Amino acid sequence: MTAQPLVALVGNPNAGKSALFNALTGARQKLGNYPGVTVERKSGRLALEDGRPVELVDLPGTYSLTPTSPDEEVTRDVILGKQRGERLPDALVLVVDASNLENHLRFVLEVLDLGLPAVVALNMVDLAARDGLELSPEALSEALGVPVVSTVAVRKRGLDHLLHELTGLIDGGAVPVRPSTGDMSFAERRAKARDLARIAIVGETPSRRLTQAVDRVALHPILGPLLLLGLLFLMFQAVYAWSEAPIAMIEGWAEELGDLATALTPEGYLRSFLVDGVINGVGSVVVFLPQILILFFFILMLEATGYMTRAAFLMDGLMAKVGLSGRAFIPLLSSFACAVPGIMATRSISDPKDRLTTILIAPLMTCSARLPVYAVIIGAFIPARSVGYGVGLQGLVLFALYVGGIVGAMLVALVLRRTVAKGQSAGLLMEMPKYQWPRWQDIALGLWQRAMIFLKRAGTIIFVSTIILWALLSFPKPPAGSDVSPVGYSAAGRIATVLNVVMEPIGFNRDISLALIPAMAAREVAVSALATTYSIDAGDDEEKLEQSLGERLKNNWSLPTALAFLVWFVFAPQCISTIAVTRRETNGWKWPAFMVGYLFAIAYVAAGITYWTAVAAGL
Amino acid sequence: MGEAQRLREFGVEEGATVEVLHRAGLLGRGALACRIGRMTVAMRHAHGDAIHVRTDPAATPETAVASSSAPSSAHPSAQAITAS
Repeated sequence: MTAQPLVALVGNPNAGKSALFNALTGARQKLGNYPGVTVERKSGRLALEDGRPVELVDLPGTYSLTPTSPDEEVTRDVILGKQRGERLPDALVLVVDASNLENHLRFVLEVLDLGLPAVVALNMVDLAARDGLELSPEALSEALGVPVVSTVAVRKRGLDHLLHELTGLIDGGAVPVRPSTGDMSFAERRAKARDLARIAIVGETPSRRLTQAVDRVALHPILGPLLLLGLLFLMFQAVYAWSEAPIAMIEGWAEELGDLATALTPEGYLRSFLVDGVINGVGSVVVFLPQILILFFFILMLEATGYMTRAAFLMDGLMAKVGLSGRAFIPLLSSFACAVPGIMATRSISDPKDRLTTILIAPLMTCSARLPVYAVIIGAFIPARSVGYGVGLQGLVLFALYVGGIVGAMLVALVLRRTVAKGQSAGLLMEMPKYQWPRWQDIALGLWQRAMIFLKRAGTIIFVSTIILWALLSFPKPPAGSDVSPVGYSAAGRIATVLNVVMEPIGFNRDISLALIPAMAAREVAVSALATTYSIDAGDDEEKLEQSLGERLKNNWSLPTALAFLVWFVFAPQCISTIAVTRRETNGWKWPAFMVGYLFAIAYVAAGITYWTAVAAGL
Repeated sequence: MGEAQRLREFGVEEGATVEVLHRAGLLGRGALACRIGRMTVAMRHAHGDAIHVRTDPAATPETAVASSSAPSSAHPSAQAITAS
């Protein structure tokens, strides 16, 4: 237990809570979990006016203290002081959307009744002004009996004032007596909130509402879906087009590092370990950092601008057809970045069957860890030519792989909803926030956190599995004069030969079977595994050593094999973290086991069909 | 249950003005985007059907609002009641 005072941010979803949290804590954030429940605990350090540290915790957004999901339950329990692993907050910051006072003040009244010291942050006052609302925080403060501060979290406005008020609350200074709304009913509270809003709004001029103007296009029955499709298409083209230069730079560094290691170490195991194992293996994965960051940039932007809920709205019709809610679209879209946060985001789906189905199909959304695999294979086997109108063939193939995953997911959902996850279709019911231009620092912070997670993975899981694989590939050495290749003779080669009996019918060779084993740890390891394999296989052959991984693959694989390999990765559950998070979210091994089983089965059949079709087509 | 509560939390109550802003979907009945008070809320037709509404005669066809069977205000603005 720390002696630091605890301050909690409380508010409706879309009140700008997270932006305020970022603005107040900067990069000093800690992500954790509440014990016993799968709800994320986000906390950070905040310095009061006099420099005293305070712990700030960002509670899940909720519309009332009558929870409908585990997240909302945590919020209620924390502010009631009943949450395990959390102390009762010393003060609350009630975050309110300034342009939706009638609704948000009702929740404020409900929370204020609990009697904790609180300050109201009238957030996003700039957007309210844009809508023609003129507000008086003073009048509202007087009526509510607690301090009210105008803030614009994304522009860092009003934060000093907020800190000033918080300092006063923590010191237990003048806690004003406020009129209790004690046993008010929902309707009474709502009426009271409306009265309060009338007091706070001192002027209202009808103005052109930007959000409505944009929505006329973004939610248009024809233009809307076209815009969404266009955005997604742009996203995947950008992943390739924008990443060329930074990738070349990282490749250059890896090469220099390899040369340096070669120059500094004597010929032998140490050099092979450093150059073939560490630099080649880890380097071949780190090289995809630019593409992963571009993808996350788009997803963070879509989320922060408020477009994500529009996408859910547009997709709901389609989602309903396979028995899902449009709400499932948001977790599924985040799964394009990574299935782990995607599966965790399913907590916002209250219907259990709906949620289970979403969890089970989330791994079918092409996550960023597949990008390295796709990028290497596409780069090696798909010619970099244009198919006209500035559309590259490589980007098109990548797009097709993403679509393949989506179509697969829809079909699986359709089947699941009629079999193991049968139930009533839960609807789509969600607030659509106003459009807002995000603060670039928030986007940068999000990207930074993602980059660190990725590099940590590269530094740990990928590093360790690369080293183990290097050792398995390097020993035992074939006796002199043997005509068996070093890889074929090694321990790993022998394991792969056995596995290959199963994989050969779908066009996989021994090297692929070999790469699939360590790729269970994380998909992108497949790339470093292939790099290490071919690097060791090249031995001292000068000509082979000069080749890039792509060139080596091209010499060893046929086009049907490469295509089957791509399709395998669309479906295969090659990721231990996803299996672990599924176990946590579904409370047992039953569903993760089911997930792994069905995904491997689909992957095998789909890769097989691809291979046989490609061979039959004479590719 | 939970959904009726959520609708109420969104401000759907007797006397509230509900305005259908957008309808998604080219084919069939896609989701609805409704303006409730100062909020825009996405919902399915099932939710929309559970809200008893009376059309506002003063409104343009697009702002078609509707109301319950018990209009109380003199101004013909729309009312809504959630079904629970």
